[in-house]
This record gives sequence, structure tokens and C-alpha cells, in this order.
Amino acid sequence: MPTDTQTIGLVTIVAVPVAAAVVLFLLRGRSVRFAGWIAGVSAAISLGAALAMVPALYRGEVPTLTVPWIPAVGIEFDLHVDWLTLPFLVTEAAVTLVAVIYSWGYHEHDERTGTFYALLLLFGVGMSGTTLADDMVLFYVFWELMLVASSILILAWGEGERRGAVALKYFIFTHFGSLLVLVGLIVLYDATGTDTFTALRAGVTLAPGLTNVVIGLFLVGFCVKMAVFPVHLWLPDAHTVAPMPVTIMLAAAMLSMGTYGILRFPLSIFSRLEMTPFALPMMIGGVFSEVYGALMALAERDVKRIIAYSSVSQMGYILFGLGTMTADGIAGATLHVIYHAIVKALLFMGAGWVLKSTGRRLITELGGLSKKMPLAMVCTGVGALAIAGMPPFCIFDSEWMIFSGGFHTAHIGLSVVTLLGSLLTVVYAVQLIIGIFFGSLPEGLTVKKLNWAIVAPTVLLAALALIEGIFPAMLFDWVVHELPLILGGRL
Amino acid sequence: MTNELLIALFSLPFLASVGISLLLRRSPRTARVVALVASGATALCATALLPLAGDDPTLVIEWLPGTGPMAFGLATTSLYAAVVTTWAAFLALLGTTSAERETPPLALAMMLLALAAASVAFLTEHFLARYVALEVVALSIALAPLVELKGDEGGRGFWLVYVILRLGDVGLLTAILILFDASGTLEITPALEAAGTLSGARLGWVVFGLVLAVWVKLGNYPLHFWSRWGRPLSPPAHAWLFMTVMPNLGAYLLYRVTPLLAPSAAVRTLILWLAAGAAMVAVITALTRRSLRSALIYVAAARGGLLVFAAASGLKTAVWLGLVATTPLQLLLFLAGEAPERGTSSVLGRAAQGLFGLAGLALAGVGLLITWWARQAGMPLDALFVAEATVALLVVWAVREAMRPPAEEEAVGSLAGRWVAMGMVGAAVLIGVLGYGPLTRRLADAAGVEGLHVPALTTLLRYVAFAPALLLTTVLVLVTWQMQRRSRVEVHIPAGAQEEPVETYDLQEGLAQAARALRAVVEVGFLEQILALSVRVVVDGARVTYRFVEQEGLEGLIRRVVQAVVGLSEAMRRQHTGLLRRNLLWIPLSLILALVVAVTCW
Repeated sequence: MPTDTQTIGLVTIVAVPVAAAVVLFLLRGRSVRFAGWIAGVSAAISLGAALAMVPALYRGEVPTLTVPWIPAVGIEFDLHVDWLTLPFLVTEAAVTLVAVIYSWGYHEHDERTGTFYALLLLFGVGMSGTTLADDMVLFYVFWELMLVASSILILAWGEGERRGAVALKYFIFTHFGSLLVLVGLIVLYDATGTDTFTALRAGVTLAPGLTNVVIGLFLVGFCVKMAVFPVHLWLPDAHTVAPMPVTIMLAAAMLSMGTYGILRFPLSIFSRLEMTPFALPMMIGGVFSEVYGALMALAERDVKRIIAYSSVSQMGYILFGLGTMTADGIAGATLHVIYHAIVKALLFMGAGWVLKSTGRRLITELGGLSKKMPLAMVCTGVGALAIAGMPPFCIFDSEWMIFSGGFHTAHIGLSVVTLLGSLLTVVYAVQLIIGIFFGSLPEGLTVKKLNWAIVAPTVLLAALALIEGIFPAMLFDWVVHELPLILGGRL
Repeated sequence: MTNELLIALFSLPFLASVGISLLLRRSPRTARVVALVASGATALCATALLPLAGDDPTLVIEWLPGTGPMAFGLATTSLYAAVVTTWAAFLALLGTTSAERETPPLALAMMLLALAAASVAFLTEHFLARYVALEVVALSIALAPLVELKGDEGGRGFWLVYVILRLGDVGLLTAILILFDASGTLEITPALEAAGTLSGARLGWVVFGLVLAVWVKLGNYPLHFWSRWGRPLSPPAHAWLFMTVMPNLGAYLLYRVTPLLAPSAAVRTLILWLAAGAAMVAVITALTRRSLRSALIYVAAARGGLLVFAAASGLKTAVWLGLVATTPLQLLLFLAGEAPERGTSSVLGRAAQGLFGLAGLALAGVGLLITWWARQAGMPLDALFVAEATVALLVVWAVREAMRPPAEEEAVGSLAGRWVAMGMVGAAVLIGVLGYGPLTRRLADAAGVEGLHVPALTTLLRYVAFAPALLLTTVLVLVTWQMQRRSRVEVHIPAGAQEEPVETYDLQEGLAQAARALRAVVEVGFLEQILALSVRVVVDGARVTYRFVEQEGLEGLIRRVVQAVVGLSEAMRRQHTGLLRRNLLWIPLSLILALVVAVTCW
């Protein structure tokens, strides 16, 4: 039974950043000096409220908030936290906080600063709200809020002349995915007459053909958000053009929304039997994305684009894990979302550190920075080794689970290809580090000293990548609790 | 006591490595002393554990949920492997470093980190712990070029060594995960036993993964090119990091998985041929090297090939004995080979030459024993001939190299530590050679491994005399060599050939170029074009639709309809408004029209 404290907590997760965003919008140019602090404090409160849900979940409670919204059509403002929600919610809130703090050092202050932080917060709220929503309509509203806020951020604060075109491309691509999801939601609503996930989880009976269509719509729609090959084309441009804090949120948190969608809809609502025809295509799609993304990262020379393509590759691991439909594979995929968030944020922060210090972003124009930026080298090196699956850094743990899930299936050849494909991750990750920090120092390369707001969160995440790798038990426990919610608990 | 010794074995080198990395990066002399003390203490800890072999230590670590507790075992075979490897580390440091000749402190730190991880890898009875430890060793080895070499070379070395070693780990992980799936446990012994329950395809993948892992770690031809990066490094890094620790870990892995390597006669024959062929190519390449360091890399590859040959022949004990016996031999080859006195006619020079020859011939002797055992085990003669020819070529190499003065680049300053280390290892080797029969039996008994019949010296000599491949190859090559020397024409074995640079093909750049080509085709040329075309179709389609539907089609239709309606209305207005006469006319006309409609409908 949800208590008042839990209700307050649920409201806090969403309402505090929204209120802060409203204040920042209203104050506009007058809030330049303290906009970052307002955003940081509200993001921290939101994260604290998300973490405060954990004890309730361990007690077996499901914190829920239900407020009538559009009574005429039975639409309610339903928020809830369950074990499936928790890992994603905490990741999104934490990434938002880290991105806001990073912005303190990275973002150039001007009269639009308040609006920038307000949109960052709304972007975060979009993700938190999507994860918390227990109602289809609410889910979609938050889903689109996420898209609109991030598009405006790219459009208004993006780097380079092409930001308008890139923002449009990003919007069109991801909106296309959203529309597929919307069609799926409408079909489900039409067939069942209910719009709450809790009710849908009890069981949905559709005609076999329609079931396949709905699952297909959800999978393709959410794969666009995950930026899996070949619907990834929005990602490299968006990640490259977006300002670094937005890139961090896009790569570390927003990509996870696709995974959440797949777990929440097809995998939670439909039975194992209904999902089985999609297992092999998901695994194959995952392997393709893993290998293709890694190859593209290898081909790139722009540091941000290398890390962006690495996301395409990493999402491949996740899709492969989900496709195995085994406990290990799905737990590994969820863990990979969290660990990828830590490591990807770390890599982008390290890259931002170098880019901001040197003013260069092509790997061919960098090199030999290990002596001038030893701390940045260690942090980025940790990120590169972690993304390469080097134990005991955290991503090894989730990759182990994903690979283990793959070998529990009959498709052993695919699992071997996935393992071999992971070697390409090693190739580009090592190349990235060597290209930036080793070799000879290019002529005219000077290094600017940066403030603590860029350095501190980067060091913190590097430490977290190691600590989480060595002590993974708590997150494993969270993820194991979610498994009964997937495929009717028949994993 | 057992637990304390184990903890010391793992933590001493690790802490020393951390200490050197953080505090002693600018103090090479202090770092050298710390490294010597730490490696010596580690070797003593490993030796002190020998009497406790068979004890059940309670040191257990829980790490990844679902993978079970990671326990450590004190099996005699793993302890002996750890003992020879840790002593090799100490002696390599003692024999190749001095206060006058500085070794980069970070290279020493990498050695100590690898030492800690290698001890874990040898003594753990858990596949995951072993895999993690192997990864740490691989990273330590790969980091050595990065911390020692200047400019772009260090980065290239790191990249290549790490990627190749990770390739081996991918093979190992494949095998581990399949065995884990079959057995439900990551404890090594029960997991390996579960291989018997695997289907043919799965067992095939396991064998493939294990062979790949062992091949890479042993530095076998042609996956040896990671070990070539040891050549430009400091002597201890080359002697131990590149030539001892990873090959020994590979050899011990080979020992553990030997029973799985021959699931069928065809696979066994394939592995026998691959191993013997790779060993032969490696030793032929060693014969053509001018640089001793370069030749030693290929000799190590030949040793690895012969060990795999033994494993494929089902000679599990021979693999383990090979590991224990060849570790000091390779170290002695390195120490004696690099002794600057070797080229002189002094007593020390002759001693160095003698020790080098002893080690080289003993290494060939180990190979000879392996082929003898394989012949007794009834292995196919064709592959056996190749292995025997390899042993013969190894003999030729050892004799030729012992008689050759060292190249100038190899002549490093005389070190007292080198002679202490050479004396210790040389004495051990001499004792081993003189008493190889009793020693082999004693080692096998102590380790509790399956005993092998050790041939007497006369039996071995008879084998050499009647083994056609051995005899023929030795005679042919020696005759060719002597003729070549007398004629002064370099035909088969060019003694003065220039060494090629370490890396002849930039694999990193090659891969990047291939990936860029793929990107050009797929991203820009294919997907990007599909996207652009789709957008073009949509936009142009919208324009066409707009023109025909909105402007000329629908809008035009509406406009015309409206115009027609307006015109009709206008005409009607003109008819029934205005003049009264026309208005009055409109009334009967309307009535008639209504009547016609009514009659028609009715």
C-alpha cells in the first residue's frame, strides 16, 4: 500500500525539475548566475527521490500515484515505480544531474542560459516521466516531451552550421519511431479497452496476425530510439552537433528509453510463445549493430562521432541480450543499460575535457596529451578499457551476462560471432586512447586548464566504473527483481 | 598459514606495482630494488606453498552473482607452474637490471602486476577468476611497449599486442561459456568433465576456442606477432613479460584442457599437423634471424608448437613437464645469449657460450622426448616426421647460435646479477639434464600426474639414430651450413641478413581503412543515399501532390465548382430579380419544373 511519503516522492521526481524549469523560463536573462545551481539542486532532489523508492520496493510495495486527468475518456495521471522502472529511473536521474553539473563548466553563459538549463531539466523529466508512467497516454506525452526538449536544445545550442538540418533529421527519425509506437499503443488500447500497463500485464489476447504486427511495431519503434543499425542514422549527427551536456544525456540516458520500451511493452505484455518468433531477428539485428557500429567507430576521425558510433555498437549488445529471451540475457541487457550510461557519459566527458582544453576534435589533430593531461588520460583510459569489456570494469559484468545468455540459446554460432565482434570494440577503444593521448604532440597544440565542474564528475564516473565492476551485487539484485515482470516471469 | 601465504603471493607484487606506479615513477633505482624484493618474496611464498600442496585453502571470493564462489586450489601441478614462473620473474629482474642500467619504473610495475595476476591465474580453480587474471596479464604485457617506447611506436605496440591477446581471450571465453552452459558451474574440473555431454557442434566450438586461446598465449606461429613487440623493450620486459609469463599461462591452460583436444581422429590429426607445421616454420625462421632476441621469439614459438603437438598426442603429463622444464631453459638462453662476454675467448665467454649451448640442446632434448613419447603413443607418422624435423632444426639452431658471437646491439654491459642468475639457472639446468630420468619421475610422482615411461639415454640415442626425419634433417642442414660457410656464399641461412623492423604491416591502419571504405559504401553511399532518396521522394511527391491536388486538382475543382455555383447563382439571380416581367415568368417556370420532377419521381 503506497504511503503519503511515497506519493510525495513520486511527485517530487517529476514536479521539482518541472517547477525549476518554469522558474528558469520565467526568470530568463535574470537567472544566468544561479540557473546552474537551480538546475543542479532540482536534479539532485529528483535523484534523491528516485533512490528513496528503493526501500519500499524491497518491502514488496509498489509506490503509485493516480490522479484523474481526462475523466471523460478515462485517462489518468498514473505514476508508479516497480523493479523494472527502478534501474532506468535512477540512471536517467543520475545522468541528468551529472550533465547539469558538467554544464557548469562546459556551457558558455549568456542571456539564454536559464532556458538552456530549463530545457535540460525538461529533457530529464521527459525520460523520468516516460519511465514512471503507468498509462499509455501519459507515457506518450512524456515520450514526446523528451523529443521536443532535446530537439530544441540541438537546434538552439548545437555546434556548427548544420545544427538546423541535424535537429530536423533527429526529430523526423525519432518521431517516426514514436509514431510506430503510437500505432501499437492505439491498437492495444482498442483491443483491450485499457490504457494502464498494470492491466495490460495481466494478459492481452489479440488475433495472431495482429499480435505479430503490434510486437513488430513496438520493436521497430523502440529500435529507432535505441539507434540500432540500420535506423541509427540520426545518432551520429545528433551526438556530434549537440552541446556536450546534451550529448551526454542523449547517449547515456535517452538511448536506454528504447530498451525500457522493449522491456515494458512487448516483453512484459506478451507471452514467451508470442515473442519467440522475434528472438532470432533481434539477436541477428543486435550482432549486426554491434559489428557495424564498431566498424564505423573505427573509420571515424572525429572524437565525438567515434564515441557516438560506439553507442550503435553497444545498443547491439543490448538488443542481442534481449533477443536471447533468457534470464541472463535480459538481466545482462538491463545491466548494460546502466553500465553503458556510466561509461558513455565518462567517455563523452573525457572527450569534452580534451575538446574544451585543446579546441580540436579530430583524432588526427590530437596526440601526445598524456603528459599534459594525465588525469584526463586516466579517466578516458578507464572509459575505453571499460567499453572494451576489460575486467574488472563494470561493462565486463553485463557483457558476461549477455554472452552467457547467448550461449544458453540454440544459436551458438551467433553467440560466437557476438564474442568475436567484441574484439572490434577493443580495436576502436584502444585506437581512440592512443590517438588522443599517445604518440607525438602535434605542432601548435596548446592545453587550456579547465575548472572543477568538468574534472570532478569525470573522475567520479571513472571511479564508479571501477567500483561498480568490483562490487556489482546491489545492481544485480535490482535487476534480478525485475525478471519476474518479464515474459510473465517464465524466463 | 596457507591462506596467509596465498594472500602474500597475490598482494605483495600487486602492492609493489601500485607503489611504483604512484610513488616511484621518477626513482628508477628505488623502483628496481622494490621490484627485486617483491618478486623475490613472491617466489619464496610460492616455494613455501609447495609442502602444503593438496591442502584445501579457505580463501574464497564472491564476485559476480550467479557465477559461484571463486576458490583457490593447491594442486601440485599449478603450484609448480607458479613456482617456476615467479622464480623466472625474480631471476630475470636480477639478471637483466642493474643500478647503472635503468629500466623504466612503469615497466617494472607492469611486470609486478602481471606477476600478481599470473599467480591468481595459476592457482584459481574457477574459470571466471582465471579469465579475469589472464586479462590483467594481457593488459600488463600490452602496456609495456606504451610505457617504454617513445613516439607512435609505443601506441602501435600497445594496440597490436592487446588486440591479439584479446583474440585469444575471446577463444577462451567461448569455451568457458559453453562449458558453463553445459555444467552449470565455473569450477574448472567439473566444467571440463561436462564436455563429455556436449553435442558435436558445441564440442567443436569448445575445441576451436581453446586451441585459439592456447595458440595466442603460447605465441605460436603465425599468431606470435604480439611477442615480437618484446624485442625493442628492456631486457626484463622481454625476458619475462613477453617470453615467460603469457606462454607459461598458455601452457598450463593447455595442460588442463589436453583431454578435450582430440574429440575425433580427424581433429587430432588436424591439430597435430598444425602444431608440428607451425613449430617447423618458427624454427626455420629462427635460423634466418641475425638478432638473438628475434630468434628467441621464434624458438619460443617452436616450443609452443611442440607443446601443442604433445597435447594433441594425448600426452598431458608431457605438457606439464614441458612447461616446468622449458621455463628455466628459455631464461638461460636469454641471459647467456645477451652476456657480452659470449663473444670473447675469456673463461666467462666460454662459460656463457657453454651455458647457451646447454640450454639450447636441452630445449631440443625436451622436444626429442615429446616426439619419442608421441611415437610410443602411436601418433600418425606423417605429422611426427615434421615434429622430428623441427627438433633436428632446433639442435642446429642451438649449435649455430652458441658458436656465433653476439651482434653488437645485443652486447649489453656486464652485470654481476646476470652471472648470479645464470649460475643459479645453469646449475638447475645441468642437474636436470644429467638426471633427467629420475627428475622426471620424481616430478611426476610429486605432482600426482600420470607417469610417463622415461627412456634411458641409450634408448634416446637409438631413437635419434633410427628416426629418419631427425637424422636426415640434422645431417642435411649441418652439411648445408658447413658448405655455406666454406664457400662463403649465403644460400640457405644468411648469417648477416639485416633485421626487418618490428612491424611490417600496419594492421591498425589497414583495419581503419577497411572500415572507412565500408562506411563510404554503406553510410554515405548506401544508407545515406536511401535516406536522401526517401526524403527527395517525399518532398517531391508532396510538391507534385500540392500542385495537382491542392493548386490544380482539388483546389481547382473546388474553384471551378465554386465558380460554377457562383455563375449559376448569378444567372439565377439575374433571372428572378430585377424586372417584374421576368420575376412573374420565373414563377410558372418553377412550377413546371417542380411538376416535371414530381411526375418523374412518382
